[in-house]
Amino acid sequence: MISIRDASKRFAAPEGGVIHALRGVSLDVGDKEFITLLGPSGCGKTTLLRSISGFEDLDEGSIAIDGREMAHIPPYRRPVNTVFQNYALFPHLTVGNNIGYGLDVTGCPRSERDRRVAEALELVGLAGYERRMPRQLSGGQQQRVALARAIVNRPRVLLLDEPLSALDRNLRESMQLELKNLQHELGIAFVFVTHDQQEALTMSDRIVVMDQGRVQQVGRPTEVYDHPTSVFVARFVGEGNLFEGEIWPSGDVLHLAGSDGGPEISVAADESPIRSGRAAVLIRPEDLEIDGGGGATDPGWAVLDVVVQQTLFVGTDFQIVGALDGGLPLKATVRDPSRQLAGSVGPGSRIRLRYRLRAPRVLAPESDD
Amino acid sequence: MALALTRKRLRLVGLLSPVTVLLTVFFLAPLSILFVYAFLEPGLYGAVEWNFSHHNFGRILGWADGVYEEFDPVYLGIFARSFRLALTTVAITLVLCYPAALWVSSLPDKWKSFFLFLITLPFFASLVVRLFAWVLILRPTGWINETLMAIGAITRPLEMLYTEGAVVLGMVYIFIPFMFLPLYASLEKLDRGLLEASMDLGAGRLKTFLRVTLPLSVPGMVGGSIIVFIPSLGNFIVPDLLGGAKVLMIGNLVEQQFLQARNWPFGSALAWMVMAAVLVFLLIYVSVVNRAQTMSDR
Repeated sequence: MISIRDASKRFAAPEGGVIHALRGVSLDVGDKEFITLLGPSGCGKTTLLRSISGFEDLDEGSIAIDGREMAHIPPYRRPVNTVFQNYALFPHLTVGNNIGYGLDVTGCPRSERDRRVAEALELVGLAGYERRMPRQLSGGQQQRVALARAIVNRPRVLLLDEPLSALDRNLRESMQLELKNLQHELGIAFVFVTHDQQEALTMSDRIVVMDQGRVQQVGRPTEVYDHPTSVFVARFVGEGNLFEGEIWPSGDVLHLAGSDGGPEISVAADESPIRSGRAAVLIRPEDLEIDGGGGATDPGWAVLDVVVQQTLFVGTDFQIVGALDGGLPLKATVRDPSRQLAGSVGPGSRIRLRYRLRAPRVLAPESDD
Repeated sequence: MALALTRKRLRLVGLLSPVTVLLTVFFLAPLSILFVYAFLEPGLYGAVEWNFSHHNFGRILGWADGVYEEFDPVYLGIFARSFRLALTTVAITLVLCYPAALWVSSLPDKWKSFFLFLITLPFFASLVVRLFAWVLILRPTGWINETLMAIGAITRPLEMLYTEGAVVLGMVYIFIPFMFLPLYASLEKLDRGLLEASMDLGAGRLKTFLRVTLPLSVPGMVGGSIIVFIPSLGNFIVPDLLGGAKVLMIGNLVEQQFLQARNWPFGSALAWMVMAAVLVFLLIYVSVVNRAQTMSDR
């Protein structure tokens, strides 16, 4: 569907110098795929999206849609449509004329145009809103109009530039669901840009994690979450406890000695890409649980002693925020249906947490740049 | 609560009273005096006779008493010319300023301020001096005629000064900033994202301009037209200097009645006629524009 090869783009920085927005990005988007470009602001995700829609020209590399090279093809001749971050609804046109805009400028016959506008409104749940003005609508409704305006043209690919960022949380979550359903119904590819990792995990078929103009990792949400390939991805997607230091093997187990005087951390060796030298270890908060055994450690498990600082109820789970020996911070997410945890594990108390040796991930340490 | 309200009210009074006093004393009062004078008769040596008369208006519109006041269609002719020249000025400044404002509004910020500065630069020199410069350029022995004769394009000097064309030229020249600034303001605040949305939806540059930029700059065009039209209609310096005795406008007529003929009542009637005409004209103009806007957005 979309095939991006070695895309590079530089901008002149306002204060002088050059910003590398894209550095050799290659990516393929499948026919009916929901793909998300995820990264912090300035990572190049919006530039990549704008290169697909035609508002930025690449310095190097190429973008092809349906096998057709897109260089020198202006935005208005590309088979894509965009849902803009601030919606960009035409303030002087009614909802109906906003949605019909694309059909009007391409000379669609009146009757077909009206029918398709009504269909699109129906699809986004705003049937009968044709004659309203955009300013009379709520943020969520404007969002839907922007969506209808884009899909009414039946693009091959729908580009969405942080479309949900202006909505409040409840609305955002229901729109996430709706977008997902809509994509399924339309059977077209969605390229979705966001900096919200939760949103990316929830909605995507595949996530493209970007940083500093480069693709850091591409994969299904579970892959990216469970098997991050770099410290950056581990940090950016989901919460995690990261420990850096020297590791050395001892039988089936790797040991990491923290450089900051922290405790030794043990990891199963068989899935680790690194067996010695500098490394980082990621333990997700939900991989930790309270060790009730007291004495000996079960085989296949490791333990950590923690001084609790806070125990927070975050709905469903408790989050324990504590410190290891040497002051390293640690977060653990613990389920306690009896809801007694906050009472028994208060600030200052020492507890022992345990995790499966196979749960943590060993990653290459962050390079020194 | 009640106290807060009085406080608020006091502050409002404090903030608004200076301008209210100023406008009442120096604008509303003279205007009222003019209104009363318009219905009186001229005194022998310039003052007014306190006899009620509506023949000042009759003299312009066609029912003079035929003794002191005579109906003369020349006044209506001058009204018509004033409207014609003012409208021509509006049309020309609009056509000249729109592309320029569009271009400047698309520049980076530092260049924007530079060009805005350039636009206001003419205000630094006296209006009369600038208009006299045009006299020097346009007159029979001015440098346009001299140049054309020197290269043999013409054998006799062209009649450029003291024509309607010269008056329009002068008014266009002095009112360009008045058209440019409101146009620029409305184009500058136009959301670039809307232009991108339009192109994203399949409209090329021309269609985007016609369907997005142009309709959204209507307020600027209306504003610019109004603030060019009103001073053009009542202008008397430009026709005085560049139109001479041949191209009189209402402003000259009013000026003559007050300063030369010393017929204050008739001058007042003329001045009120101008105001009424402007008001009616603007009401029609604005309602037509509004209707056109709602029509285009069925």
